[in-house]
Amino acid sequence: MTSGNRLPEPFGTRIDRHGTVTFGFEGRTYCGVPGDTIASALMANGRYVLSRSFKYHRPRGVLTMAAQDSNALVQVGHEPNAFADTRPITDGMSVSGQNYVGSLDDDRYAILGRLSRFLPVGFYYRTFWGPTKNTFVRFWEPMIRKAAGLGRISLDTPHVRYDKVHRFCDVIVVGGGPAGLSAALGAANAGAEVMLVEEGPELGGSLGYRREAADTGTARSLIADVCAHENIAIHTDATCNGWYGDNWLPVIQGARLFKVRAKQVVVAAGRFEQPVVFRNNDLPGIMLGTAAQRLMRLYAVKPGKRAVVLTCNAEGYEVAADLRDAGVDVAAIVDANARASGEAPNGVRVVTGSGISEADGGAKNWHVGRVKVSAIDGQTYAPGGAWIDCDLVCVAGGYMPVYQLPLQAGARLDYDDATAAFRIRGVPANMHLAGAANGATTLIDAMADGASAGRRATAALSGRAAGDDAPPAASPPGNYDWPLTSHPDGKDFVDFDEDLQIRDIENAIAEGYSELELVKRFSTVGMGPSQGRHAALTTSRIVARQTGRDVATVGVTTARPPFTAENLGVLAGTQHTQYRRTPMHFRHVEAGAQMQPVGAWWRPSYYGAPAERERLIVEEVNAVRTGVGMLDVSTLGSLEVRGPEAAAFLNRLYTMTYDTLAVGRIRYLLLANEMGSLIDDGVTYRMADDHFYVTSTTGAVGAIYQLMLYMNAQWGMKVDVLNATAVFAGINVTGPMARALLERASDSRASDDIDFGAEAFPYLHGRTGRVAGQPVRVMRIGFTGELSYEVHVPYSRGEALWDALCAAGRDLGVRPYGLEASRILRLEKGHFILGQDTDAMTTPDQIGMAWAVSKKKDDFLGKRSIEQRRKLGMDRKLVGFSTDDKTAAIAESCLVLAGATATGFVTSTCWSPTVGKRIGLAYAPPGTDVGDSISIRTRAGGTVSVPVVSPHFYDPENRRQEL
Amino acid sequence: MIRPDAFDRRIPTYRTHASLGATFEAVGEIAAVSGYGDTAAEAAGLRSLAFADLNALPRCGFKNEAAPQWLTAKGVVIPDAANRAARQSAGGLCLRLGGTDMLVTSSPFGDDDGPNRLLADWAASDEKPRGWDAHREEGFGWFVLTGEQAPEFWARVCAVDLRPATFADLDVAQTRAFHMGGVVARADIAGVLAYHMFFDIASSDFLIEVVGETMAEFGGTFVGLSALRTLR
Repeated sequence: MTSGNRLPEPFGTRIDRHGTVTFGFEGRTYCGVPGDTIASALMANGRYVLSRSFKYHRPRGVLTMAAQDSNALVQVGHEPNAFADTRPITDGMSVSGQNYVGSLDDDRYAILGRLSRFLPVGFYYRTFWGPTKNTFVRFWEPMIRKAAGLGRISLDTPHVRYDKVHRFCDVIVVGGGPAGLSAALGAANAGAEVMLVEEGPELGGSLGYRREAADTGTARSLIADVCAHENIAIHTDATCNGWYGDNWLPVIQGARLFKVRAKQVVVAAGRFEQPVVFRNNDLPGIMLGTAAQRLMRLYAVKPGKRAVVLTCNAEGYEVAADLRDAGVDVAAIVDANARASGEAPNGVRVVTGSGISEADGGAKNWHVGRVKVSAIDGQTYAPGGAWIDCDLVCVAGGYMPVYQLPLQAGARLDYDDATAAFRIRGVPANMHLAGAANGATTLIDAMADGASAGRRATAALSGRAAGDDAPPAASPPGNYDWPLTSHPDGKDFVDFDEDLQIRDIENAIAEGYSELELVKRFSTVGMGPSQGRHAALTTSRIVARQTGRDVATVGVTTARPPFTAENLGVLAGTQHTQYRRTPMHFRHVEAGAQMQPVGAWWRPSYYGAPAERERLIVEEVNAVRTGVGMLDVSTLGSLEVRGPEAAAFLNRLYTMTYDTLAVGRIRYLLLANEMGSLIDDGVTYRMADDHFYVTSTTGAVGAIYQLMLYMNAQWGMKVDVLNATAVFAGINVTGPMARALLERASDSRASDDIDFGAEAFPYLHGRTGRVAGQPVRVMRIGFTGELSYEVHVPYSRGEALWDALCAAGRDLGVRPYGLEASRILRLEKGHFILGQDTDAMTTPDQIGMAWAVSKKKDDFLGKRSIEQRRKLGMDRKLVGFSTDDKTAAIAESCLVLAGATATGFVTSTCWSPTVGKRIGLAYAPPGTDVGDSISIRTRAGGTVSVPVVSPHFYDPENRRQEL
Repeated sequence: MIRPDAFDRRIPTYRTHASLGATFEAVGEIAAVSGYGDTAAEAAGLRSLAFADLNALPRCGFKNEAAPQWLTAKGVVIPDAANRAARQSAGGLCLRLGGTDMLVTSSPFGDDDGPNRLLADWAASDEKPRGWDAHREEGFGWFVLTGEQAPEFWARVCAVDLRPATFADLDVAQTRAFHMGGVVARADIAGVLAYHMFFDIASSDFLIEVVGETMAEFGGTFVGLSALRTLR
């Protein structure tokens, strides 16, 4: 497919002229060819406006053709902020512009450009607070939210599989242009394993579009050599998006993030061509010279009919020659230097010592129609000037090295006033610059510099310097100290992203923000999608001039990663979230359990249909109270503490005493931190003189294990600690018929040997033996308040034991119960849950656990703090409350009030099917006692007074658990 | 037909394997994955990219100062340094996870009861000190990944360079992969690149899910003991 703007061969190296690709833009259908980008296809069709600017909604077209500017940001289907100048078109693709209200061609907010004098930099810091107190929330915030952001996020965005791949290499070369290719080849030839990263779809970089390279076979042979080299892994369409410590570099290629660890880095990323600031310098049709070259050489798009080239270097003359070759009428080359910087094509007028002071795009700024060429007089333009009609302005205004990666690695930018250019200096030892990024801008220089960098990098791998590889002399940078005097009518844009004009930067400085980093934050210069690529140099010059300093002193703002925008999906990756399953997991699922996550674990919440949730939970509670229930407690933490000093170790750690605990006995564990606040509880079963089996809460066991290792390392005790949480499965068999169940199960195999009789196996005792043929550790403890045995069995045997207990208890009506019933059962009994009924400040005294704190031990973790805090007196205590009012909207976190003052809060509450009341625990003032009442602010907003009762709502004499 | 749930000990992943078409075989008192229906194809996959669940096979661990000496006295070949492994005469491995932390595996073919005998000897002994049982046969899930594409597989799930050029035969890495901590040991089987991995047993289903998704990119295959035995 061809059109009026399509050039003949050899233009168009990236496109296939024999095909057709149909796509939509702003509701209209366009045709391009395979290889076209959105922008090239549109321009081939005579469509130049791609989007609107963020603040003033000005029409914007191609600027760089290299995905380096916000002008090219468009919406592609569900995806916002796609770069139109590099995104290939596909059949059926739906594209629209961004930042408009109404239509791209008729944007109602374009009026904002005319109001710009009322919208100075920083106006939003002052404007949106009035006129009344709530105006911001009611008026301004909704408006700002509507205007904020670039593009539209769609909740219907289809899922894409993103992933991450780790890579290791000797040398990574960033940039696949002539210098990068030479560097990769140099390193690979010296034996290094090389990763070559190129942003574009093919290798070559500027070889693909610069006139200097077009007439040689250099590109083809260099690329062929690189592609054929077995030591070079080539990644095209890939962006190295930052530099992090120890040469860790993220390389994004499509939906994949390569996490690269390189021994040496060669940065051959080239340079950013710079625009020039003049009034209306953002009009569609005004683009960088390299953008025009890319359009012509790569996509065979004729960028205009009549052009003016604005330049200060020889590259501008190359652009003019290319334009002439493409049949564009070059009206003039406007050269800032007093003498021509290059050789003009025959017949092309050269205006030296001049610049463009103003462009005219008609009433709607739709496309450049003419430019005013004026003589340069220092930092301003001389009065007068001549208008030249044109529909294309190619700007070759100088260069900035691609400095981001080196600066992130610790290098700096030095400014040379004589050449008006920045150079990168001080790169670290394991990083090497090459090519234009290193100031070597001609093809020959760049290739020589690249090869040298490759060899230096390889030499550094073995710790030696490549003595014969001194960096070559730098080529002329081709920059100019362009006039930066604000035009009286403005619209002389320094930063296209945020529509910042010269006077905006000057006003920021006048406000007192004289440091560049402050100017950036006040004005937002450099904070948009292009991250200052085209604004940093100009801004630095303005700040330097306005503050009487030199540019070198002002420098540029910090170049943080990422280099360019990255999708959140790239960062998220494959989104695997670890889950852990107990060995009985599928038995729960098969029994209809509603599973819930508890950390990484999945546990049964209750068994049955959600529609019958309340009834089912009550039935599970009743089963435990009247028969026997089974709870999967495999997730509870378990730790093996073993060694000759195991008892002494626990003594130093926990609040109670363990050296006096007899073998075969169980004792409660309470753990405080060094602040005296409670962090864990559990029990320990002394299995031998030198062996304690310790339990911990599900959520805390990882931290407790670490704490034990840490303290053991400090104390140097003869103790071994093992986190055995996944080693053992656990089943809590509880209820008045628990013993009967276990006795039945224990009769099933000849090897079974545990006597569950009340006298043989009393409360707070442990036994090791076999149940249903399985080796078990059984602890007689109680969380439900009923006769309970916690049976621990090796993980691989958990399901078989569960099956055996279910079978043995079938005619006893054994019923599995879930976490919901467990929480009710424990609350009826008055047991607290660490983390639910405690917080970071809870002491043992506050929750009535002073009895669990030894007064005899010399020391234990948190002892001194507990004692010191005790001296300060309690400021709250955990109390029980109950009410017959079934409708009271009391829930966890409801405040406990004394008058209008919050004195505590409800930590746990439920309707107790056993007690027949709403019961709960709450923090209340320390003087609160049984018989008092507390006021609770309900979820409904009212206040209810409830009596304070013993927190042991059920069986306070403990008769049932000690059956 | 062998049913895993007919055994007193069960691998936690037997349902997952069954859903992939696995058949099982008895290895002592537990059922192991024998294969997925096409042993020849699985055996071919071993050289490209294959994953086997060895949770059913014997393994054990002992730690503390006396463990190396006790194991040596039992005939176990102990690696000279931490993070190295040593091959055992019966085809198993001993991984030295720390100065005194040893992990002993059986051969990967289901024909070696050595670790179980060690556990029995340790339990029957009243010798002190003899190290502490680290319960690796329960807490550590055991899997093996084989084939020339295994390094690319690792590049998807682990930040450590496990390529053969840098991670030698019998090297051990204690690292993070699959978003959790674990142990990876390279111990080639009959010249086939092989990585043994030991991760949280309770996360076995999660691991297999990630492995399956990751292997799909390379056309990797799940294999059972029958295929592994072709390397014997």
